[in-house]
Amino acid sequence: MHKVIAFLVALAALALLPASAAAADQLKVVATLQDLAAIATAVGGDRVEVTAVASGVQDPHFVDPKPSYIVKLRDADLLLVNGLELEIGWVPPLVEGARNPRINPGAPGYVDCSRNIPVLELPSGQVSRAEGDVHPLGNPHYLTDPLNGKIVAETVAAAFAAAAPASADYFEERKKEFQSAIDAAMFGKELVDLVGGKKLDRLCRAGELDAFLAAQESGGAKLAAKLGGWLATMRACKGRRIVFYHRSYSYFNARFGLAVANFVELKAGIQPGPGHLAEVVGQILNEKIPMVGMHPFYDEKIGRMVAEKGGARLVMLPLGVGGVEGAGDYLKFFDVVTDQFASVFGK
Amino acid sequence: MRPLHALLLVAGLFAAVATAGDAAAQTPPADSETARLRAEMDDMRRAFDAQMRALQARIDELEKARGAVPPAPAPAAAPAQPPTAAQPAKPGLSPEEQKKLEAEFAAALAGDSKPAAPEPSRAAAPIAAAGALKLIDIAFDLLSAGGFSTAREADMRRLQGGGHDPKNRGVTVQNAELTLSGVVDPFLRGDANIVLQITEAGETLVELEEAYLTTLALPAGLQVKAGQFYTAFGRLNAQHPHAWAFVDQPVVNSRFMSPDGLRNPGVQVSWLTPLPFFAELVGSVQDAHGETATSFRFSPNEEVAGRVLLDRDVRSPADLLYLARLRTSFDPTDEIALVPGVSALFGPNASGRDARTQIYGVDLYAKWKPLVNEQGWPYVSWQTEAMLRRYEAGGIAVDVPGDGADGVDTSARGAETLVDWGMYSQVVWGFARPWSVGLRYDYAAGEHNEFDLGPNFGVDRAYDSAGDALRDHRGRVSADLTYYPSEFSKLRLQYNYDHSSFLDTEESHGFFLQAEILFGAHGAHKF
Repeated sequence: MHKVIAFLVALAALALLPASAAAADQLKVVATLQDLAAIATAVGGDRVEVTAVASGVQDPHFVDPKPSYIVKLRDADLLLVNGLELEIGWVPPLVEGARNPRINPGAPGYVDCSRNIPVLELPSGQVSRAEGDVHPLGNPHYLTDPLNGKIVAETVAAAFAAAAPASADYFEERKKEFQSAIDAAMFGKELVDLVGGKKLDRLCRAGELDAFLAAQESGGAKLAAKLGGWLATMRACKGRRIVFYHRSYSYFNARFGLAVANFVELKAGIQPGPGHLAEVVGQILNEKIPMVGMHPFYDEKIGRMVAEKGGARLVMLPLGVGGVEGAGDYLKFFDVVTDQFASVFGK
Repeated sequence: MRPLHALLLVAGLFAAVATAGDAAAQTPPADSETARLRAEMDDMRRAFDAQMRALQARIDELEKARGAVPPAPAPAAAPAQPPTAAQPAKPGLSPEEQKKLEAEFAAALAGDSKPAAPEPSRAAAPIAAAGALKLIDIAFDLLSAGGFSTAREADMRRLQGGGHDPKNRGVTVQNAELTLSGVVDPFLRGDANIVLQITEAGETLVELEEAYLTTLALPAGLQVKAGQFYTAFGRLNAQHPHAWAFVDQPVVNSRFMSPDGLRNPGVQVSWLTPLPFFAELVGSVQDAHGETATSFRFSPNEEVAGRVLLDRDVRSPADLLYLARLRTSFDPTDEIALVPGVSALFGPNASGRDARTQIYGVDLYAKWKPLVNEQGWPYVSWQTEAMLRRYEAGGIAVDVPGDGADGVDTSARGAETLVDWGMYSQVVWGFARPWSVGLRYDYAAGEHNEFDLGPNFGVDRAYDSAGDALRDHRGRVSADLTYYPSEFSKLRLQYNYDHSSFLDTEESHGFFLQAEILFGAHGAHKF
């Protein structure tokens, strides 16, 4: 009995130790996904210590709420979540287990990064699970649109500044750098210098960028010729039809003008039946669809069969940062993805 | 919305002008006629304007309600929402001053001068745009099974010791459960599980299986649970039947933890230690009475190991049920998680005035799941629990000849300590989506004792532990195959091979087909 008491006393003493003496002035940030962690690192620099729960190769819908993750959340100052119920199967038990009032939903440390995102595929009217495992709050994979990454940076910077007001300027500065880097990578540096990232962003979101670039000139050349970056790489894809496995790239497709003719997975979370798969193959053949896009965590055998029978190319895309080799940060993720599309459609 | 207004206005005016034009064409213009038309047009315009104003008001209202999602945010220009240090003009407090002031306020609010506890939340976080108020999550789970056993039905009921086990040849509704949960306020969450069961007599029973609060904002890694809840002993006891990997409950759980699982009203405190790995200490105090605590103060006149139980009062805190548990977890790799635990239970039992029971348990859960998995498949999980029970069977409620007094004689013969133990070990392999196979081995045994087959101490028949379905030597092997049409439904086929010393035939074979549906909000499972 004495040993037990001694053990308990020792544990209690541990509890009273300062959490971490070495990195006392760093904010401890836990992000549920590697994408969010990448943006947090970009904004927070060396004044934050960022840990991701799920790695980029994992399907973010199906992560086990392992007790070891609870330990990560226990000491966090801030928890960044993707939101829109993407992590509904694993974040609630982690937050409850962590017993950390700083990151409870409703507390300032619980940062829902879907805030201010223009959400796509918001169900209208009544939905039920007859349509599969639906997302009632809309499609949660908004980070596949680089312009949304800038909104998340805004949310993250605001949360960091609120948690560490002394570093607010630092975060603001880094956030702007990050947003400028996205603009340059999206539109090309030359165009950004000529028109300004803010205006390009607005035009792009309003769907008026092409008309604007076709109408305006600079130095005797149409602005359209100056378009660089991912949009230039994806130019050949615009208006093309593809087949996708799951509704995971809706934001990307909308931004770069791709239309999804059909999905391999008819209803979210339900295995597709052979009838549907055959129909998809028929559609690929009919419409001469060149590409079937999927992620490494889906059933590759089925995806490959559909692509091969239809004579289309199977393209393994990452769903987020870290999803494939080379996609190590948020910008590199889009470098990799746009290159993959260009390899099918040309530049 | 502006262009829309302009368009409507233009369209309205066009309509008005067209009507006026028509009217003008049909009748020759007269002064009185013109005045009438003008008045008519004015009326129309007024009505139109009023309508537009009403519409605009409605639009404004809706936009406000939606939380004004910016249609095209221009991030570079957007001002940072919270105040930042970039605004030095504000005569603010330094963080230290703020902390100090907070402490003072906390003391004032608490009505004493003790040092401040951390406040639960500093400021209301902005409510998500277009959010809906989420008050309560409701789900209904229906678990039913068809079963057949080579054992007679009377024996099958004793073989399938769990309250939710399919116990007869034919169809059983194992569990129909209504689950309610919701956040009460920033400090508490509430959970309730209400179970409906159809008895062998065909009657429907309602059971308040669980109803408890959980704290959300205690400091220092503490969490309190209070109300009616499953005791956190081992792994399986606190799991609901729909989360089980097999149709029925392990034999050892039915024997030691009660057929329906060990649960009672009480309070539980758990502490997440600050160690670098996951280590959680749990302690609870619960009532020790009733059919949900059969190893403890089980109901009077029930029989345990041949003794008729007493109506035993609670005379001191020692007559309550105490749990101590340590649960830890390690990840040897990113794809393997180990969750070992040890538990102990202490409480009174009703076989004698001062009789007590102790149950000790060890448990291990291990799961392998590759990082790149298809909606959770493939995986292998291994779960094992072993338990030891010391049951101090006290003096029994008999009139000892020559004693002259009724009631309990503490010096009665037959007082002894019964040591029983049992274990189960199960492996589940999700080999391909959406299938899994499972294999489970059960063993449980009670030690023979001097009371066995001895003189009849007021009990009608001599007691024989080998013939007691809750204490005999029992081995069981179960295999199952499960198919999951979605996350919310499953079909399961299971075979049981039983070897039991109380059966005349010693062996029996059981077959079960189980179906589950779950509709409503389904909370995430604990790992």
